[in-house]
Amino acid sequence: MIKNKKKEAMKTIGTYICLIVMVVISVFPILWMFDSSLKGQSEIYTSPPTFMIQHVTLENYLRVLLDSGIPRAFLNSAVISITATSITVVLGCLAGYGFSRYRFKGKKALYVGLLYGQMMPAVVLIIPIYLVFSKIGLIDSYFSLILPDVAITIPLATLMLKGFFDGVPIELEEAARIDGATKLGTLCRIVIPIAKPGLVSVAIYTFLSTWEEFIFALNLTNSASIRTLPIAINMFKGEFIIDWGAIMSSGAVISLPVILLFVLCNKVFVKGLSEGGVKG
Amino acid sequence: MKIKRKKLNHKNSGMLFILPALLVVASVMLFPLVYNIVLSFFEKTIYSPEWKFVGLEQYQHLLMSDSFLNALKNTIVWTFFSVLFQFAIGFACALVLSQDRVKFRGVWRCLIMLPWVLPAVIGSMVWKWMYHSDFGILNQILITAGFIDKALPWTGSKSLALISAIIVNTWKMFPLVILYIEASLQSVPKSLEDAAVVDGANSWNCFKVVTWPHIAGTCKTVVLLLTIWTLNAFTFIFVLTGGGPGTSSQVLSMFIYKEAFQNFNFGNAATASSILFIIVAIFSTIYIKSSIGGDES
Repeated sequence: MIKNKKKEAMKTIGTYICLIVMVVISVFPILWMFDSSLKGQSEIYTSPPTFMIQHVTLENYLRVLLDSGIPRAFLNSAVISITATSITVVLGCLAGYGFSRYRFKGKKALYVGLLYGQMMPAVVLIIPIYLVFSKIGLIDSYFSLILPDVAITIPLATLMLKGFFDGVPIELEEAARIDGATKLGTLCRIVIPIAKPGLVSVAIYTFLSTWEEFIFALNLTNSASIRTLPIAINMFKGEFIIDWGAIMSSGAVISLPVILLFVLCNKVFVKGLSEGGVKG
Repeated sequence: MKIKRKKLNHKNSGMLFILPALLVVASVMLFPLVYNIVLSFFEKTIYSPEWKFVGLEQYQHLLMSDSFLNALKNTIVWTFFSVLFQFAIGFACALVLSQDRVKFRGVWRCLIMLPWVLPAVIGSMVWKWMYHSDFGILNQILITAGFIDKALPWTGSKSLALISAIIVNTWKMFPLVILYIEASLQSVPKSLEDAAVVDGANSWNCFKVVTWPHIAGTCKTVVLLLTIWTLNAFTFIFVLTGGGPGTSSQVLSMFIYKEAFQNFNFGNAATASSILFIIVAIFSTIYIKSSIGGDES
């Protein structure tokens, strides 16, 4: 009996040691980013590096926030990500509802097409999109990033939302229809409120992917007034000199919104993702 | 009978709901894909700015060129090891995290998920800083722990560049594996596990007979998705090594990007992307077949 108890205690200790190791591996690089961002120029370039900071300074942040393209890029990123996420969620809701509730010709083919769309390599799309956009003068506009962002996030959003809508009992809608609601009205007033956790996870997922979108932003923009954060951070990288302090503090500025969003909505997000998206 | 009539009445409404999404996907995915395949039969370089039809010549040329074959080889190494590590580590973590004895599971999960939340560019930048041969903390940690004697050049070395990128890719994506596996572990009926234990099964047997059959499908899905994502991944390599030193970490996506936007050899790049598309499409087809099969049952 005592032996069993001891064995159990050992197992519990082992489990927590594993968990701590996992957390350290996950979180350490992020902490190191914040740590480095608070070091002065002379301290950041010391060898060997230390985790303790002798003089905590905000000079990197001041340089990034007052004297660089990061604030403007932050605005650009926010406009593009929020617009793209809103469009994706609305179009994804409509399409997910269509797939979930209706039967029509070519439905299966479209569904399979959507699944392929989800897998499409961005690098395959970028060349033709670049050639077409530069021909019709769309390069370097908000639109040139929002459109691809919406397109690459729609397939997964639709598939996830279809999964959530499948779980909403159809009887509720029938009752609403009898009471005279339109199809769109039923979707907005009955189905969407029930599938709200799903909607939230789709919105977060979409926002995270548009916030970090890189390859389209790299090739379809070139002026500072359109440039997004993942591209703007590269301007601290010169031919020979890299301003690591500025990169780490802009990294912190860029990550903070998504980290906060994730920590605050973590419960709904994980629940939504495990119920809807994980099925595949 | 009632249901059938209802579905028939709304025959076209379904299409209307899907149409807006369809238009976006068709214009930004389907059209470029077709256009890309068409381009792959034409030659356009910086010296010959007009598009010239050359048929399959570029495919032939590409499949025999050393730089393309090198990129293909690197892609295989990059994908295989990334997926292996992502899955193995994610799977092990999911098993640890899903035990009943774990308290505050939500908090642990939230912390472990953070690398996945961090934008890929930032994650790669931070790791590049940690890999720094003079001021990098990673070398310092490894030296202190006694794993290495002197600082390694990581991204600056031909033999370590690809491994450095694989480590970052693994770090970023293993948390997502945890989420998938954990969700499918929850679908294993507790009563079955208990019954197996009562029957005297040890934990390995219990896992093999009870747990595995329930999660095997998800594992297959996850491995296929990771493979597709890693084949498509571009940011890690672009930020960490730029494909270098030399071409030691040049994967297909990097090769395509350089051909198009540095060498302005758009024809060749289109050909290489068609080949990448075919590779991804093969894995996608396996994935889609198994996921649709799962839906029907």
